[in-house]
Amino acid sequence: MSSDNGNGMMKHTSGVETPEAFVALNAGDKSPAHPNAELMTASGEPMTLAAVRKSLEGKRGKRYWRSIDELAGTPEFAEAVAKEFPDAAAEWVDPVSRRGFLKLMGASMALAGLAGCTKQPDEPIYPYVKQPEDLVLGKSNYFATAHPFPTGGIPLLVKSDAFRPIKVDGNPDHPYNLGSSDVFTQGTLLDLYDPDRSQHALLRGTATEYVDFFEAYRERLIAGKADGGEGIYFLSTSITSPTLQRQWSEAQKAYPKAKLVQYDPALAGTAFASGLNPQFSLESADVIVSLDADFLSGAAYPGFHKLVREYAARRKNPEGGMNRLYAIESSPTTTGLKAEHRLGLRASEIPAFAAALANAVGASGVSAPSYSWTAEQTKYLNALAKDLKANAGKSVVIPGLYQDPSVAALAAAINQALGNAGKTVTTTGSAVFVDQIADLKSLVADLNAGKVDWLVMLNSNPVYDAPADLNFLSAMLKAKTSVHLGSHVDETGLEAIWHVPAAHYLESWSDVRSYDGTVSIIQPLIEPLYGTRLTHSFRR
Amino acid sequence: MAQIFDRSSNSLARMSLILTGLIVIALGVTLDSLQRSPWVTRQGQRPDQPVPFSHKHHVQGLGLQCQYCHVSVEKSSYAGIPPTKTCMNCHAQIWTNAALLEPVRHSWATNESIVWTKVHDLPDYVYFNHSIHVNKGLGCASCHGRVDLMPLMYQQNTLQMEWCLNCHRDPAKNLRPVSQIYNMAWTAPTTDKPVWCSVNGEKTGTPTAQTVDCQTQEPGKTDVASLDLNAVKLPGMSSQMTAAMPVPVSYTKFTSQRDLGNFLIDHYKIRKPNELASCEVCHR
Repeated sequence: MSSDNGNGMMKHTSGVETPEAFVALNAGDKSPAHPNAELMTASGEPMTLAAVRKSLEGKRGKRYWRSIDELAGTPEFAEAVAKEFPDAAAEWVDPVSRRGFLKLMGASMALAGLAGCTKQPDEPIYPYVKQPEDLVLGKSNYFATAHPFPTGGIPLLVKSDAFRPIKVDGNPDHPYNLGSSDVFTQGTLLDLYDPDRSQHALLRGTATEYVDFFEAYRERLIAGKADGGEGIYFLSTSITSPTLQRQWSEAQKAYPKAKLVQYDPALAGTAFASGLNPQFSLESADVIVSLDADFLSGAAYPGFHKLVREYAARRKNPEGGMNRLYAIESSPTTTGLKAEHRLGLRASEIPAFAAALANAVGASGVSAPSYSWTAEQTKYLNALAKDLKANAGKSVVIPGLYQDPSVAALAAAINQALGNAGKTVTTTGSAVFVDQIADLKSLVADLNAGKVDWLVMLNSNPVYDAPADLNFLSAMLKAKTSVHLGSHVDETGLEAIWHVPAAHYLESWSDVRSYDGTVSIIQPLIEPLYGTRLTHSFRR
Repeated sequence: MAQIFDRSSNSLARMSLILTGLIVIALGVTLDSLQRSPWVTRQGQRPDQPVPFSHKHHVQGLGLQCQYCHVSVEKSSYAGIPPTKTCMNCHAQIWTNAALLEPVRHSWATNESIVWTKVHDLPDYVYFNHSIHVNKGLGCASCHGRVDLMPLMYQQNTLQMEWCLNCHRDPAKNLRPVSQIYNMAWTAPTTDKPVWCSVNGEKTGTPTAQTVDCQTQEPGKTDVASLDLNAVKLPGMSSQMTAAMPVPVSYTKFTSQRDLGNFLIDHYKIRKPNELASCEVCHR
């Protein structure tokens, strides 16, 4: 019961309506004397000073009352007191249920062991009709596949028992991760067997058949042949599959006016999504500097598997020369905890620090910003610059994923100035510049302008994860037809006109590019559990 | 004052005390024997099967080897129940119209499993591995009984934990050479019927059972075992083969199961009871 009401207790003077009013009254009656005329005594006559005096007559010693109503002894008041703890009251007041409860508990404790004495039921055996040749029942098979992840695929070797995947682990033979994986990858197995997975195509929330959707989709595509696919928009998570990329470029040829927007909430606006994907080789780095880069915590940092492995390898073998880690960071992270030298800075100070560091190591075209560093920070900066210069060509500066884009550029400039480029830092692949935030904004603008006929959302949940100020939901509802392909009926799936259940990667054929550029084949380990579909099947 | 209780009450009271004790004991004994009874363990029961498959006919009568059907017994925890295909290997050609085999043909035609009822059904909380037992000298018959004499399959033993422990506390009494695993009629060595065993080049990395060679014929009286292969080149035997086949050094004669069992425990590297003390060996 909140005692806030205690201050505004005047309302109960107009008679007693709710128990809450009474209880609040108990909690703290700070109200002045009430107009007695409106209160009644137990006998029903209006309470007057005379009546109170009469009821107190003949009583001796100290006698307290919590409120004037108690004094008045109204039956409503008595009821309210009984209900002071209405939830628990029944349990304590009703002797039968409490006793019965204890009896049942006691009996179940005493008889718990008897459950083990039951006779086993008959168990059927369902042998194969034709047993697969490579299957030894009781022995697991291992299949190579890959987990598609926005920062690049993670090559896997999946343990499969009687052709049911039971454990996901990194592929030890793949040069990128050499057997390592991460929490997201480990968790994907639970997604496969998740009973809450979407199992049917939905049309406005009603179960329907996939073919119905496909009919409508095909009709739109046939119509799109004439108008170049105008008004057909795709919204997808970052495309890491070379095949999907090729399918899109083919679709783009057939439907030049159709648009594809990629949006990953954890990557949009970062230097990574902007096309810079440097490869850091920590094997040969004696000095490592993290500019707010938490590259040791988890797979969210692009290239995590390789970075953490190479960092740890130098640690495990001190004879081979340990590396030295400097962490400049805005919040405590695993990387900062592992660092020999940690400097806590505000996130907003890090670009300035990076510029000062670039200037100190002599990066061309970078001037030291005028910023008043503390003595400790200056000392750190100088020591770091000295160490970096002493280890030119054997050091690496790693920029933070969520830092200002200037930090990534400055880190690249420092690596260039120190001669690390080509040694500890290389840039691979032909990065395509995608400004995910600008693309999403223009999509929302087109939606609001009514230009969008079909909006197909592939494995993304923008209603949930698009920036709130874009108000994606109200924009999405303006599309004539919205389609959501997803593993779950999530926020977007609920609002979209069509929902199509998506296949899990362990049920799919596809391919994916890892962060280091290697391509892995995604092969299915199990028939789709439900009538689920691939992203690829939307590109016809 | 008159006695409230009659004199006979004394003996009645004593009787009822004794009777109560007896009832408690009887209840314990009853529950105990119930828990061990075939009603609970299913020992000796022959459940209805879709096809009255006779192991006796197929093993003793036709001479099928165990592994023809139970293919993974040496490789996996699960011995394997044959797929319909295995039945059809022969029954596509013989007894093709037998009424008894209708479920097999139905399964073959419709691609649906023949649904057998499990005879040896361990509780789900027990992990049992066939391959380790078979590869370390425990014959099929030691647990499953004389399957070759069973027209209908039944469970020979209780498969209760005390039965497992009974052997694991003293494995020597049941071990036999791995060459005799599938020999249903194997009996323990006696003075009349001894077993000779020798150990060849026991080295790490070699499967332990393969380094022990056991024979039921006296080695000196057979041809190959005592031949000096380096001296006598058998026709068709390459020098590589000769080198790879080590000459048995010496055979030990065993005339009792106890001696043979202890010898095999040492050389098959079978874990002693105190090395199996951890619960999660069987309860994973």
